[in-house]
Amino acid sequence: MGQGGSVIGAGEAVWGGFSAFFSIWQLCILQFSPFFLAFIVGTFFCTPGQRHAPPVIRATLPASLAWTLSFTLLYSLLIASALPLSRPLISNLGSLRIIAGVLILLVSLYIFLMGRRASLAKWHRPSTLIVLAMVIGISFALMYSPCITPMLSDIMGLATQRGTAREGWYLAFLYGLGTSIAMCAFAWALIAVLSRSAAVWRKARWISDACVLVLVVLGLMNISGLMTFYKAFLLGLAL
Amino acid sequence: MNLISFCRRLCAALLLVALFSACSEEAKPLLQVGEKATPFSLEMLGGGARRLEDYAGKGLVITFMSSWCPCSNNSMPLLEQASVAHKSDQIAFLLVGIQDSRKKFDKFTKKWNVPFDAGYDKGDRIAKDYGVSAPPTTFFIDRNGIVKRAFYGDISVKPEEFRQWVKEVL
Repeated sequence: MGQGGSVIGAGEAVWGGFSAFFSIWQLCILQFSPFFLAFIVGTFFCTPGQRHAPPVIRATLPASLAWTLSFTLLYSLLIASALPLSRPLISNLGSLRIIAGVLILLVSLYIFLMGRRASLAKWHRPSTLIVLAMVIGISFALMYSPCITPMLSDIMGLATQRGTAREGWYLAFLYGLGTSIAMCAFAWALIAVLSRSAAVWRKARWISDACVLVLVVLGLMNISGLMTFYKAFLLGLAL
Repeated sequence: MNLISFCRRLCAALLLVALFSACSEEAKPLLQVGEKATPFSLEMLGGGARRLEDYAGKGLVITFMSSWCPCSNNSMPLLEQASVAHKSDQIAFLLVGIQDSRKKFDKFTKKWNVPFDAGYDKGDRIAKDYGVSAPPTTFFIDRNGIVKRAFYGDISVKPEEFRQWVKEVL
């Protein structure tokens, strides 16, 4: 074992990930949190002709669940580097990050066009959103370079060594789940507040386009390798 | 050109970019405890280079850090104390700058007045060989070149364990 052999409970791991979202570690989570918000808010406001808020949870829950599962699963596999399944992912991470950037650009294009072409509205269904959310979840897990919080330090100690990799993967999954739940709860709260305002609905396309722009920036940062500098900038704020 | 045609061309162009860009140097999974440390040649900040063989017969604590990383900054005092405490012992400490610019990492080592070897890992080649994805990551390598432990994150949260792990590779 790489670490001192700490014992972490399942609930503790979920809470560790959840609480990290609302702590100083948010500076690190900013690698994906504004972009997740851009995706959820962008897809919520992009439907052409929509003037009134659909129920927030009903409209965003399937996509949020799909994002949570895909992000958490891949995130935990990338942390558990000693698992046989993780090795090819890690070995090809550089290439996968570039492909993730391209996928993010394609999702941005979808949101951009959906807000402009009424003829495309038939495609804007919960099943489409679930697929897009999974694509975004996978892409975010690939691009995210997590900061090593004290709990994640212990989890990585287990997950990166062959003898304890499964236990470590399970804990990393729960830790990622905690962070994802916090992320989704925050996104729902934000949309609930925004969607109550008539002024916001009047500017729905503008909001959706701003979200597209944020996602395009992320996609380009992934393709160009600038994500490392973005992370360095964010964490430099804590010094 | 209609919209669908435009989208098709854009998707094709993006996929081509991905394929052409995918020819970068790839990472490896993290070095396992019990494995032989991977040989390296590290460009030192003061000039010259150090290789793993230069530390043969000694314990080696090799730590990958970045100037912008709060955990790296928090870990420095403990590393410095340990290197001073073990100055006359058969153990060496090596600081490797990753995910950083050489200039900024140079400033970082001056800020902390690092009393042991420090080098800059251009292109993060050594980090990739060791499977390091985030700073700080520290390896404890014994005098036979075998990895005895790997630690991820802020060393200052486990000072007692750190001192013990240093002693293990003496």
